[in-house]
Amino acid sequence: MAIQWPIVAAVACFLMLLAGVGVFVKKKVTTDEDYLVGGRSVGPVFTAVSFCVAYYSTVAVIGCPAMYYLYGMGYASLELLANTWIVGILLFVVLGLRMRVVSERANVVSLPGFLAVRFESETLRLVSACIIAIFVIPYGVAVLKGIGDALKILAGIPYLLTVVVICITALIYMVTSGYWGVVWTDLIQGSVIMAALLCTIPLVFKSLGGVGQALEVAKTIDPDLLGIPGPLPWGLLFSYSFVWGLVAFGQPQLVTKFIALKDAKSVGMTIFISTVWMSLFLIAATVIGFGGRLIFGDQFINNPDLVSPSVAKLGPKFIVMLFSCGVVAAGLTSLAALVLTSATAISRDFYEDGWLRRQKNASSRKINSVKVHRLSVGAIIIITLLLSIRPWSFVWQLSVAGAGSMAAAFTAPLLIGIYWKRATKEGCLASILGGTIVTTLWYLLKLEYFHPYIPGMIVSIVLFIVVSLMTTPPSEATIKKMFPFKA
Amino acid sequence: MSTVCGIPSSIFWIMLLGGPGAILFSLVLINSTWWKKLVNKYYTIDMKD
Repeated sequence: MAIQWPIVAAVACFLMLLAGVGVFVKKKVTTDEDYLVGGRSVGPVFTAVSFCVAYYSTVAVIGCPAMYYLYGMGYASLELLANTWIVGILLFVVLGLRMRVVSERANVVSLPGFLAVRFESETLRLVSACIIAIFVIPYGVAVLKGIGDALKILAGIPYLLTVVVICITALIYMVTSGYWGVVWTDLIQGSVIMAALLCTIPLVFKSLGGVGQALEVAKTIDPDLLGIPGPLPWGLLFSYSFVWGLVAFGQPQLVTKFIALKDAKSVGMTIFISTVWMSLFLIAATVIGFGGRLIFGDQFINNPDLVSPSVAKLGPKFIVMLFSCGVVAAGLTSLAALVLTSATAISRDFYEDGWLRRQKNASSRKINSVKVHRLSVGAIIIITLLLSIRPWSFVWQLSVAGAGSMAAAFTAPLLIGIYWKRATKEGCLASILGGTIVTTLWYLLKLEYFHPYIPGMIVSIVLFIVVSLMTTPPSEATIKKMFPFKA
Repeated sequence: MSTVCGIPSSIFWIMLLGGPGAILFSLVLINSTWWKKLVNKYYTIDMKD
């Protein structure tokens, strides 16, 4: 495919805008906490959009319509239900509110930091930071590869050029302004993603001759695509649609959004905005994916990722340009959230709280942790870039396992740790290791029957409770600090 | 197969619950007395610190 220069120009301008905003926002960063978590003063609009775009990556912008193309409306409707109720509402009510308060009380800025303070264990800090570093980088590789592949289809841009330019842009705004750069650019990118998807919807109806005609065409296709469970067996239907919502409970990059939120009163508005954003996103993806099936028939059955770019190409050049920017935005926002999370694990958890504290002359050796963080961001982006140029099959397998394994590792420690006073560090460690090992092995051995997250979660919860009951309870001081809530 | 607005009824109701239903519920939730009490409790702890 020849390079589409107008699309290249649009994407280039968009990336320059993001880099420029990152540099402009630099003045908001005056302390370490500003750089790492926006000074814990990020408002609900920024937090909600940043949360949603970190959760939905390029994989979702391209992948969701592809799944709806393959599995139809039944699957799409259940995924919408699971995402808005579980991620948009339940996650914030159950975890977000409490995490916001406890993280400030314990003075932590990351998930490993929270586990270290809650369970009085440096081992937990290191183990969880290692797990984040191991899984987040391959996950970032998958996101980067998604953007590279999509722009190759949409605009004929060489894969290597795309991934290099994307990494340079992320490097500029993340190194200069850290978390503030991420949330400001997320707001712009979230708006572009939404505009791209919403502008693509009319193309579907226009192509099918209107809403009424579209529904008439729908009656002529495989009736399975209009039913529940549709082409999927019940087990896989629930696994795919609900598990994707449940894994959000254990994603370290999403936990950071709660920590950075301005105050407890902002949680309500964040829930509302997130739910609206998610609903619009998934309904638009449903129209594009299922509409794509009505327009193109079985043409993309072997490569369903081509559906959403093909629908966008039905419209004028402007829509393709906007859609290309939307794809870049979806990937870049997730990449930024992942890089930021793993850089915090390295600079704060490994370096500052892990290594530096153990040194005898720590105060004289201390250098600005923001400097270490900036170096970590640079190093992680370069490693991600190098791995994405030609992903090894093992890196690829880890990236597939990334979100599920991290969720199986951290969901129980976060939820049980924040609600159950009797939870112990030994229980937490057993839970993290058990969940990670079972889920990763399930992925690598390609075992079927359930989504790998489900057996991992069961093992993680059982180990946590059993081991905690067999070991010494945490100290009174920790309980007092971490459980200031009265019934 | 019964339909609502041309969409199979089961899918229509699930989508209604998942999209507009969730938005409406979130609005009702954040304006409820239970939520306001809960948030105030957390906010007070936050301010004490």
